Amino acid sequence: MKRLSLVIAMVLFAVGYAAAQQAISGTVTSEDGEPLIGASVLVEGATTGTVTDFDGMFNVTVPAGGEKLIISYTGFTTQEVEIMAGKTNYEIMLSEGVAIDEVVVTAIGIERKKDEDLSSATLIETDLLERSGETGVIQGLAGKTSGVNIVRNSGDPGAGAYIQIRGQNTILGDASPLIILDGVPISNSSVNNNTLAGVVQQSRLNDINPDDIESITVLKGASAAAVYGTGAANGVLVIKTKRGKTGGKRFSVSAGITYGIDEINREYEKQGEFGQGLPDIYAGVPYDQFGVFVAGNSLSWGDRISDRSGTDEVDQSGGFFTGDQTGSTYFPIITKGDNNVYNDSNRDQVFQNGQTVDVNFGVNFRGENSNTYFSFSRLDQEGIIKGNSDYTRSTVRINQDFNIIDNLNIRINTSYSGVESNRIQTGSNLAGLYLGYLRTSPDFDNTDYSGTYTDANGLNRPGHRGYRNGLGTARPTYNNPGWTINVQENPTEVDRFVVAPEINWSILPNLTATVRYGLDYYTDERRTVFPINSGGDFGQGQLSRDEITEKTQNLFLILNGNSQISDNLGLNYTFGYNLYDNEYQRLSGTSANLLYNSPEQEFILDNATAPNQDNDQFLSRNRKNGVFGVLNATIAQNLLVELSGRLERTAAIQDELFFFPSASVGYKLIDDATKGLSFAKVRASYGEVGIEPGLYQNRNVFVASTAGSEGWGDYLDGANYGGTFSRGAIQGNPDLTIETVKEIELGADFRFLSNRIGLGITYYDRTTEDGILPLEAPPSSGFTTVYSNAAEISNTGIELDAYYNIITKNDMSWKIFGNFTTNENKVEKLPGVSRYILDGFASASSAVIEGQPFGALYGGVWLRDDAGEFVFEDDNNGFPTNAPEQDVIGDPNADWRGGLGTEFTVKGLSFSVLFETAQGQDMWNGTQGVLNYFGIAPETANITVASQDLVTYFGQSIPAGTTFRGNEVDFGAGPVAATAEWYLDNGGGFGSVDEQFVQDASWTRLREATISYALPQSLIGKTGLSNVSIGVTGRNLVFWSEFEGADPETNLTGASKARGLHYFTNPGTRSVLFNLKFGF
Amino acid sequence: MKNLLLLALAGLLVGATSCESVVEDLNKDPNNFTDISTTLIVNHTILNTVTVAEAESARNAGMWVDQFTGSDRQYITLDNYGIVNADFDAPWADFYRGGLSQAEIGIQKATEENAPSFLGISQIMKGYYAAEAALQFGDVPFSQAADAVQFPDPVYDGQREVINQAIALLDEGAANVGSLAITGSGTNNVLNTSSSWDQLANALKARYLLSVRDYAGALDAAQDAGFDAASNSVDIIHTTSNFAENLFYQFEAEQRTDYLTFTGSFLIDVLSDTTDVSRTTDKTNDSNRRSFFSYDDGEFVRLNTNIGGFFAADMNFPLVGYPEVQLIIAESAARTGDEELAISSLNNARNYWDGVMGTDDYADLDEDDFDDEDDLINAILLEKFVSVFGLPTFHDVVRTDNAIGTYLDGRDAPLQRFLYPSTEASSNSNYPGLIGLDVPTPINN
Repeated sequence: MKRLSLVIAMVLFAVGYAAAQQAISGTVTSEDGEPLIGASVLVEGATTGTVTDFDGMFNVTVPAGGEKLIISYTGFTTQEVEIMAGKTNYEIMLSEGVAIDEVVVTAIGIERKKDEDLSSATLIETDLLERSGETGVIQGLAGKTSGVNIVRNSGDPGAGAYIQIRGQNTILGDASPLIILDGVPISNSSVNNNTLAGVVQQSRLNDINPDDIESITVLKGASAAAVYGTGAANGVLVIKTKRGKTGGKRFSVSAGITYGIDEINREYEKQGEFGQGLPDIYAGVPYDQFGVFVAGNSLSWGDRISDRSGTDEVDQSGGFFTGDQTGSTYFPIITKGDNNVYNDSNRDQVFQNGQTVDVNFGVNFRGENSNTYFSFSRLDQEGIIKGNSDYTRSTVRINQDFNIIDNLNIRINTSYSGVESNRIQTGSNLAGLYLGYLRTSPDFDNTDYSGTYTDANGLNRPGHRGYRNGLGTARPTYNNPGWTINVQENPTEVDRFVVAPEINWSILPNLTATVRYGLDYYTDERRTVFPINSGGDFGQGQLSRDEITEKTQNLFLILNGNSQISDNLGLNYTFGYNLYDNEYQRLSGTSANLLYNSPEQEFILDNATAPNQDNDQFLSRNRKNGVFGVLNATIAQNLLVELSGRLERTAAIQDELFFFPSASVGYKLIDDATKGLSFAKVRASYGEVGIEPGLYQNRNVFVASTAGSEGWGDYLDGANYGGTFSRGAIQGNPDLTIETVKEIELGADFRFLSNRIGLGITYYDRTTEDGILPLEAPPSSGFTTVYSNAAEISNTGIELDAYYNIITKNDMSWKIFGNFTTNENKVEKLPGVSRYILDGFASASSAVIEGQPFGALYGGVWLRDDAGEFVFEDDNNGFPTNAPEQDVIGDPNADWRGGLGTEFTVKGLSFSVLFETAQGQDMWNGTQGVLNYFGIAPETANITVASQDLVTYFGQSIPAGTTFRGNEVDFGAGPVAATAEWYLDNGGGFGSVDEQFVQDASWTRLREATISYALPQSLIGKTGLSNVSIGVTGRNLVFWSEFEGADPETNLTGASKARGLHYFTNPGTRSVLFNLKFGF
Repeated sequence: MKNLLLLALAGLLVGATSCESVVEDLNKDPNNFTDISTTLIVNHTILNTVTVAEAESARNAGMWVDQFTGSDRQYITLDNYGIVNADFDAPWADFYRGGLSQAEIGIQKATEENAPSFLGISQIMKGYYAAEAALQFGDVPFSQAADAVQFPDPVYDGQREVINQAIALLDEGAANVGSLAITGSGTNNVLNTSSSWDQLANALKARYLLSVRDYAGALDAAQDAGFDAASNSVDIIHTTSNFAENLFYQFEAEQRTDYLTFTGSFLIDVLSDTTDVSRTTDKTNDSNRRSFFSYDDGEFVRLNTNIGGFFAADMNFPLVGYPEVQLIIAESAARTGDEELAISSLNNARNYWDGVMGTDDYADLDEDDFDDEDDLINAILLEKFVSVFGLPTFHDVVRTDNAIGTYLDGRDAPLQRFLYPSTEASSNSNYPGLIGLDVPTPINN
């Protein structure tokens, strides 16, 4: 009640104040006389302004001395109209055109001219997003503006993406920016998107149909986002969807169809020289005989394939396996003779060219007192992985505007997205795709993956055949990739509704009250089927189902007005109240050790004994509310000042109020299109935003417990032993406070040569104080971690965006544009703990370490002396050894990033290309290390002739002139023979030295290349169509990177804060898309 | 203008302060308990013993004294002593966070509730975790451990002192819980045995006194334990239910096939009849025990995780077994001059296997079978080496400076200790610094 009375009081006050102003009125129409609804009408030099109503009419207050009205409307040429003394009514006609003023949308959804904006916000128009051909909204932003880093988690269809604006600044808080869709925050959860093992999940942002989007404004700085308080520490993406047109034809349709082809953009090479089995030393053969075939062995350190006889000698006296796929029978091998290399066919079993078909259809309808945008889209994507890998998204959107009476407008945005997808197991996962595929020995044919094992007594049982169990007698330790993609199932189904009604009441020409409500509700149902005989822990089969529901509600009460206090002072003010409410629940059920091995693989959770059935739930309810205000002042035409703030209370700390202020000032040095330096503005701002502590971090809890070596996978579940509970490992902290992000931003915007060249430059320095983390505690204290406000993280950087319109003629234009970002990220303080591991493995991880960049790669290193040279211990035979303690081994953050693009249009034909680069970051190539171990990496298949007498890692001698498998390496203590002994120990990925597998992950890529052609009217005039265009887009067509075997633009741990890890992550893609668009 | 700002400010304050009700009382975790019954936490402290007896620490200890061989992946490096402190992060947390501190909660709750049985069990458990930690790592936190509010950075107490305190806790615990049966008395569902809690306390006490070379004390405690029958073995129960299976089974058969084997290990050579270190005589036939423990599939000599094997899914695993207690008696008796008791206890331990396997492989030994006292002691130690897997055997090898001559994979002397974990190095201001693998702990110095 108090809130309501407050709003009323404010309204009354503002009404009284504004009524003193002098008003003029008029109408705005298009050239064909249609009224333009929502056109912006501004008084030059003041912030005073309004928008036209449903009949194209406007009323605006003009201060004494006001000389010009500036009328702008999307898609039309902006017009300036002189205000003549005594004339109070103006008929203004706008002509369609392209040269519109750049605008941005503020955090609370208000559009404003970029020239007046005091932040580094950038707006990206829909055509740029669509051109990217990405199926997800966010991915399409990559490379288009400075300060934003977008990384796809993998090339899986619908895979989520990681979005980072200006460097990471929180350890536990949300890593991604706040997403505001048509004025309401929506969820961008990536639940369980950590893919150490499991499947790559989608990002909820992918639910939005990119064709529905009008523009995305990226608010990078704290000052621009301060009105969202604890919601906006990572910046804000303000997304505006299309609305019914208020001008032009009453009824119009636009439609498009896109067909895309995806393929893998980089793969690991596998050696084809040596077969499955044990190496020389373990097989007991001399080095020049390399190794011995051992069926079922995990390693490919066996004999030379080309030395073999040609046919296998098999034992047909006992059991055998009959494959389902080819009908072939497989017997135990007595002597391996087959000298075929199956690397290619094993690859083709798994990978294909992916396909995408995207159909979209949009209708604009302008009624008597309403206008409507309706759209439908359907996307069908088949992944680059054969079998159960696909993504289907259907969306429907209705955006409706009603003018109830002249000054009361209601708009309702509703959308539905339905996503069905099949995912593939990935990562560090015995039942995962890449792990089984890459480790498969070159001489093993994976074609038959399922079938029947007939034992010596003639009894049949279903089997799973893989290189570690070629007879399929029981599950192979690693899945046959054919099994992973065809037999295992990981379907997901998402249903999502977003409903956002809004009432706008123009109380006075210059005062509007808005009530806006937003509901974002989705269910995400995920199932996992590991049939009996799957790898790892799933030999007896497992079913699991996760049901995730999230409901986010927002209520906004906003009062927006403006007034011209005097000739030299114009004000624009916004006050509001916001209530945020989020309800999340996740229910999970699992059945393990299935009873009936049904060929149909029905999803029946009862198919297990009671002790093998498990269920679990997680619930949370969060709320916060706050009041906010923004005050913009224009002083003496050129000095712009903005003050904003939010006072907030959150559920996590209910007893305290937090205030987030921001202040910005800007000065327009020049604004004259006729000059060489046409426009110059300098700006400075300071802002604070926050990150609230997570819920439930305030106290100790007791949890159902397990005991054993959970890290290795063997443990006892207390539920099997009458129930056990233990006090949780994390010590709760009732004294937590919020994390505060403080940022200073300095910038300047310039335009030269009649606005043909534009340049924006911003410097920022932001610091997170009181960063919360589960600080590592000595386990001897009884806890392994304790939540604390301990960290301080800084990000400083420079962002540059520039363009040059080289040619701007009616039928020809040529533009080049670019952006550059450098961000230096540092963990300034992390007291009492040497590192905090974000994610990864015990060996290599991404961690937060004092004095290091956020997410630094951390792992085992070589033992070195003070000078940094290897220490060679006596019993190590000239090989280096590992240090007993881990250390920093790399920095996953790029030193700088940049984008460079050009667009060229002549008549209906357009070309565009966009290059993007990220330089100076590292990535741990765990996959490579492990392939060394297994003897799959080509490097390990080198046949070397000893140039002198050499010693192996185990101290064995290899006389000069002897041929051996491996490499002659000089680590600094003279040449040694790096044979299997070395690669199976510290020279491989299972050794204790991860340092050697950290690689430069810098990349440069041709992010997009597009050709499109709009058919001329002369051709389509008679068809009834108003426009037809065809185009081809290439995405990620070429990339250059030193990183071996994979596109470094993937991440093992998905969209999480742990960066720079690669471990059997599903590969990335490049794509070509053909599209046809038309309208009538 | 002024009015506008004032009003705005007033509005902001009123608005926000009035809205506490909206956010009130939401920060109560609906997913977890903030308190728990004593039974459940005590049951956890018992379950958690598996982390010491049967999980990673047991495998590591076994590899480093060559009962086992690391044959694949990280285990190759581990077996070759390519050890870093982070390798001990998980076991240390299991001892302290999962074990000792939960036992301390049990002690506090049982004291508040005046429940002597739970108090006694919790004390025995706390004593167990403290002593096992001290034996592995040397000086360890004890007096300030498991009290995060008072001592966020616990100091490290002397190894001997910790073992003494642990033994005192075992004594107190035994007195509090008395002769309550371990199985069937409703105090837990983890252990299967005919022993009572005070018998377990004494058996553990014997293990620790032996480690500090108090042979007379160890002999008394082992005899007080009264492990007269095989059924006295205190075993962790395993079934074929998911995550109730034997951990060696889970590790080898389900999770990490090939990592841990017997290939080329001293243990398998001892049990073989063709090697230099074979024990085979007309009174000793180890072939059945070898098959009980292992099988050779041509690729590796594997842990016998098949049905009926020693490491089968549903094979219980000893927390303290009958053979261990008999062999503590045997060694302590031999070292205190009671050769007769030493030999009879050794025979008990040998005959145990005939009982388990249903064989008649081990004839009774007598004094003529031994050249001298050292020969007898070595036979006892060797029998223990092939009977008791994991830490107790590791400590024997260190204590006796490898009297039995197990393979040390290139090292001259056994590994002396486990490394303090990286987690303590990183977060405890009282961390004593990295102490190398070759530095003896105080009890062996």
